[in-house]
Amino acid sequence: MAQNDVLLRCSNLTKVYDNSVLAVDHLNLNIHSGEIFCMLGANGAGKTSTLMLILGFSDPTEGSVEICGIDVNKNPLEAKKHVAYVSENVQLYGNFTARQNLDFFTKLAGRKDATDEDYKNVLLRTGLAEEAHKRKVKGFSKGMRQRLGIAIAIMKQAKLILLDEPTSGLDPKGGMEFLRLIDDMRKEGCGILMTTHDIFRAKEIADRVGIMSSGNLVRVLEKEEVEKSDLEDLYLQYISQNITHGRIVSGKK
Amino acid sequence: MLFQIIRKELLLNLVSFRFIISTVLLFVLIVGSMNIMAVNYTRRLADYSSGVEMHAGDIDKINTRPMFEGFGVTRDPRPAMLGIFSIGLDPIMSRSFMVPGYTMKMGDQGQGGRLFYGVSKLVGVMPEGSKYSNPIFTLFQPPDFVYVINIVLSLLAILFAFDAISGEKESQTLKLMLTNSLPRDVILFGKWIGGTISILLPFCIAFGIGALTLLIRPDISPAEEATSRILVIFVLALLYIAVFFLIGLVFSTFSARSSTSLVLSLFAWVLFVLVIPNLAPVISRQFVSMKPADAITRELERQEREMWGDGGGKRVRAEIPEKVSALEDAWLRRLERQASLAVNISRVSPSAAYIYASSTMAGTGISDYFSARDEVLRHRQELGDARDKFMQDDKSQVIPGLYIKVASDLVPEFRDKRQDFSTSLNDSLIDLGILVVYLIALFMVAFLKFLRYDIK
Ligand SMILES: Nc1ncnc2c1ncn2[C@@H]1O[C@H](COP(=O)(O)OP(=O)(O)OP(=O)(O)O)[C@@H](O)[C@H]1O
Ligand SMILES: [Mg+2]
Repeated sequence: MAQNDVLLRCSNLTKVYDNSVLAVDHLNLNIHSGEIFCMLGANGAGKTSTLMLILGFSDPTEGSVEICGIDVNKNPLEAKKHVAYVSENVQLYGNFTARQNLDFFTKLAGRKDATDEDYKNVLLRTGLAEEAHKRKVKGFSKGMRQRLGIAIAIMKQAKLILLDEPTSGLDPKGGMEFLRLIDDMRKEGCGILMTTHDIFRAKEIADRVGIMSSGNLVRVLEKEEVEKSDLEDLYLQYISQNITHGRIVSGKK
Repeated sequence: MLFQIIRKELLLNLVSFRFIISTVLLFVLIVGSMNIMAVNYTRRLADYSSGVEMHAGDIDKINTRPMFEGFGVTRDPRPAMLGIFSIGLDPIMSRSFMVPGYTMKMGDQGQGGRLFYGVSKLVGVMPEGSKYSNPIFTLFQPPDFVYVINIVLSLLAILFAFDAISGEKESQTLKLMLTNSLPRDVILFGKWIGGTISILLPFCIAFGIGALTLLIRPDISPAEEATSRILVIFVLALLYIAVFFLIGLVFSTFSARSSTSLVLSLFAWVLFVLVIPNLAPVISRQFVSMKPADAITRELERQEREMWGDGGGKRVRAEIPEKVSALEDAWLRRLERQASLAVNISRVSPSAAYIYASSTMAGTGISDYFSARDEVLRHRQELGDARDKFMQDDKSQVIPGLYIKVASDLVPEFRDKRQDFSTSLNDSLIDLGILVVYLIALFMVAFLKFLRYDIK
């Protein structure tokens, strides 16, 4: 691997949907190992679209994504070995217990070496140990499901972690615990890209913060800036400049 | 990977409500229908035996020459044992029929314009009411094993499959699966195999138990070649269920929402199971229209009456046989064309193909029906020949009204010869092929659709 440090590299990443909505607009973004990058942005700014492009779930209109130096569009299966993803609203198999869900997705991730001990540890870390075997996931609260999602991501032992609004809808305590888990992963050397609407949490945990508007990062703040500046003011300032719900482009490719 | 997905699919299905419900339903229906049809079969077999016994005495009651000339013989075809699985056209085929003496050969006495009965193929041989009606109508009714598979299992297969892809999208697990180094075709294969096993496994067990209950019934003795026939009927059911699972799977890749998939699949089910098989005979009647059989009979009656007035019995005997075969053969050919057109149109539906193949393998299908009909006609010919021979040999015929005794061994037995296994298999190969083609084509559609399915 040439750039050991850079886990994710988006170059000129652009997505124009079939309905001519320009959701991501020449986005350039690098994520390094051991950092948490928080992506702020209004509804429809293109955050989820960006994550979908990174995962290769939609084809970029322009530009490219590399995960650990592997081009996602040219070699998706290889690239996906190094990325884990927790969606906005984790659902999973309602008729399985947490442990069964975890087991299935861990095996899909190709981890044949995972021991019972590993599972136990992860379930303890995510606070699911008690419920893991007893209850079916369909009876889980949103917070429990979200934690199970992160447990699955942890078990995969991927370098790059993508989180789409992981704390939305969690109570303050749940949100705190969630961030602690993410913090642990950072310490283990993962690179984390997290979208959020929660400016205060972002300020608390992020190494860097990016403000997204109309499909592009209009401002990226480094660690010191994040601590110094009034993030909320800054955010509102940028957002009000661009009322975004995706722009319509004409003459699409 | 593939194994993991199959395993997951099985585990999830096993604990699902629909699995429990459908397993119970499947057991009750399959084991139940086999046993109800077995009881039905023993009843028909008893009817058959008593019919044979009763009609065997008919000949012995004949003791005068006029009685002999006019004697009728009633014959009882044996009901098909595999009607337990597919009753098909057996109720028509195994109905007793009477061959009246005057229809055996062209008789000597004037029959008021009905001498042609002796050479007619439409008069007198088949039981009243069933006279060469288009057999297709009768094919789609009774609640036998094939009916249960055709209607209920196809529906259950769809209920197992309709949300295979769209449901995983809704629960976002499709996305989560594909964040791994996992090709899409593996997911599709896994879901297909796992899902098909989940429905076929309880089916196989129910079938096994049903067949076992048949084996231990003291009142059923297996027919010839029954095992190989039942095996093919079993394989056909497997294929058919797999086809409907795939129909559900295909529609699950056509929509982002499982509710839409369900509506689409149910629509396809109604079309294939209910509409096409029932519409096909109607359409074929539009293309091959026919007069009712009675119209042909009346026409022949009219022509014969004319000849009686003009030339008498001599002319009747000289010309009628040709007229009869010209009119009737054309009519019968048309009937066969109408039937085969209906069959071919309905083959668009896997449900119809399944019924044709299964009833043929049970010996109760359309080809069995036509061959049974030919067998009846052949037997009438045989009876006519026997009668003529007896009349010639009977020197006493110069003295009318003499008491005679007919030796029963001069009257040929009716051998209801059924098609053998290889003929049946041969006849059902097209429909078996249609099911296989459906299987392959549907899988390809599902595959191509899923490769481009928007998983977001
Ligand atoms: N599949 C799609 N087809 C067409 N347009 C889409 C599609 N997905 C998203 N869009 C549009 O792209 C734009 C960006 O949407 P996206 O979901 O990326 O925003 P977001 O930043 O994640 O918003 P939110 O904060 O509400 O989650 C929106 O205008 C949206 O309507
Ligand atoms: Mg979003």
